[in-house]
Amino acid sequence: MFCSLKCWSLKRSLWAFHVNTGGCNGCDIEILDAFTPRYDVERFGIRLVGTPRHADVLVVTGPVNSKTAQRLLTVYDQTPDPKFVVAVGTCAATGGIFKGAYNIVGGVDNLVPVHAYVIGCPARPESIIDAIAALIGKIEKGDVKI
Amino acid sequence: MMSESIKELILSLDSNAKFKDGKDNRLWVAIESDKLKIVLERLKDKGYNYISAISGLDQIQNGKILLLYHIMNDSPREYPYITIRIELPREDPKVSSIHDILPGALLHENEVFDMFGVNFIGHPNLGRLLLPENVRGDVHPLKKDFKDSVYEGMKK
Amino acid sequence: MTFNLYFGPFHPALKEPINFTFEVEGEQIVNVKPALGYNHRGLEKLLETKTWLQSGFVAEHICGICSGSHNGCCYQGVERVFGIEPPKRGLYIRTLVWELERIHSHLLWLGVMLHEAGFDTLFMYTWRDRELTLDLFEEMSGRRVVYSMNTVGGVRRDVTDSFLQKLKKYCDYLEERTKFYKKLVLEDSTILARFQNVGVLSKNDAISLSAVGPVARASGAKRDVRYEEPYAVYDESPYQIVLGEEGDALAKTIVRIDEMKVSLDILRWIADNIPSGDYRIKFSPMTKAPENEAISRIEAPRGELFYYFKSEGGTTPSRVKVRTPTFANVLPVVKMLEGQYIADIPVIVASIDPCIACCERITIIDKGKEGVKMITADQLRSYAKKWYEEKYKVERGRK
Repeated sequence: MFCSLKCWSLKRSLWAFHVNTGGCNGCDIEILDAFTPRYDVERFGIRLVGTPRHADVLVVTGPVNSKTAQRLLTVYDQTPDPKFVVAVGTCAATGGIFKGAYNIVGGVDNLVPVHAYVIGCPARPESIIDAIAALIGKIEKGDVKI
Repeated sequence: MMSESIKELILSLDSNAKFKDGKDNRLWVAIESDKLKIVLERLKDKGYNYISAISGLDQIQNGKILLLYHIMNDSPREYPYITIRIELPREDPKVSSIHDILPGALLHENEVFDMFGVNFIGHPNLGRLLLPENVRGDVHPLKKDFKDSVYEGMKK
Repeated sequence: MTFNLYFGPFHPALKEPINFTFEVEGEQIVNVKPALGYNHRGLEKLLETKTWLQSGFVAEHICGICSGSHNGCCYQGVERVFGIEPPKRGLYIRTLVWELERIHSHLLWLGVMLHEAGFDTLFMYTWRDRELTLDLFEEMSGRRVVYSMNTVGGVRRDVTDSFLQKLKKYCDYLEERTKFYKKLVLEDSTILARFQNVGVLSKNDAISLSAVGPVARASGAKRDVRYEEPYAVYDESPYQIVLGEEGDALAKTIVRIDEMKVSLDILRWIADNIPSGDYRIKFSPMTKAPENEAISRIEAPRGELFYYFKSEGGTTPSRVKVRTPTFANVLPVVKMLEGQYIADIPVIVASIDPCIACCERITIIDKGKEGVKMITADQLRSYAKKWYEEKYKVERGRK
């Protein structure tokens, strides 16, 4: 009962916090694009917040490098439960074009569990919105553990 | 005639200087590392007050590290751009810092220290700039003999 | 008593992670220490393992906002190593990409700058106009943000006549919009109050600290690669250098808006004068380079972009040095921040261009009490608004 209440409360108001773990800014501006007039995801109740403590979703872009790896874990710990992670862009999924560089740890899933991957270099705003919609669908169906 | 005077000026400071005229009005000069400061100082008086970058070059085959100082002059003249090349030994490379002449070089020197391990004497806070704080010791990724495996252990 | 104020490394908007440590005395900043490296991926080493043709595709991932500049500057350097000269039509299309990118980047920056000052309406306006630029990019190259238009010896794709017609229409529309933005910035009292005399960089400091791009030009220093060393087709184009005087945040805004207008003029000129013919020459991917070294500089939206290539006669470069404009502007922003108020930090850091600005998480450590206080960027922004409200209330009260 309590779980369904949590699901119900989440699905119309996912708040996202954006973490750049060493990406090229391409995905970052596409995420921001999704919040501006043409795509406007705020109409679905999704908004960017300024601190992980207010967030339900961590939107992670870029490959994790050795300096941000520890910071990503800190941000993940600061996010209250229930929390979801969306890895935006090929780099966040696998390391992408930067794979093999000395300072790169790899994809985001090496460090934290990921609930949705958005592939693309950079990912288009449509596919980012699609991924978040898919995440909401998962929450509704109860496919993800809260 | 202006350009001759630049070459003459550098020759008067370092008689072993070697010149190469590049494309796009760039002059490539190779000088001794201990003459670097005085040459830059005199060139600054001539209006070369902008530093684009300092790039390091590891030549493992001759046991040298090369530093290239790319400087520029605002006012139009025959050589608006000069690249000054100095050679340092690969073991314990040392050169005096030029931040008191060109303050813009401060971060570039930090970067070269980080990537090549060149010691800049007189630099106010020489330390790691780009690599994580926990990487210690003689680990400099842009050296040709840098091994990923050494770094792998330090990343965690 | 001084406090230490930690700034960064993550920001809610779009910026790269960077960290500043401020020493503050009351409201005033005494000393600033930047800490870089949160975005360090080791690309210079990675580029040593890529072939000459692959290098540009890696280089454009250095920055997604100025990807066309990185890509073009990298291939311009490769061409200089090989001694190749691209055909004229290729150079025209390259210039078109660079100027379109400048407009997209400046619109993006203008939005973020106004967002930092609390003017979110205009943020939405500029980003709506920016979408039109991205549409043009998509039609031209197939991608919106990282477009890989350039290649060794020209560009990857040709442009069609219908595209050029669209480009002209776009220029006419955007010209009206830039006029509107300039009028707004110059007349709105809120913007004037937040931008005027904030983060001043004097001309002497700009020169001695080697500032680049609009930051240097707003202080009156003639630093523009298009002006110093016209590359591609800039020597024929109707390019004019845009200079400011005061060097404050307002001057930086005006310089960028005026630059957009110059870019629009260049785009119109390209649409009218683009020659027909080949747009690239053939280049085989595994070609061995001659032993050579070359320097390539272009004016990216944020300032001088610098590439150095060293070839030892292989299919890959033996060393690539990249100096990005933001790296050169870190020391100037440190200078601009000294002596300013905490409330002005977002605006000043944003004023050099947000590719680096980052003010997500701030910890205030009170040395005397050993207490730690955390505030976020949003809190800082609302704090800044309140601070300015108070300030103007007091001033109005005096009158």
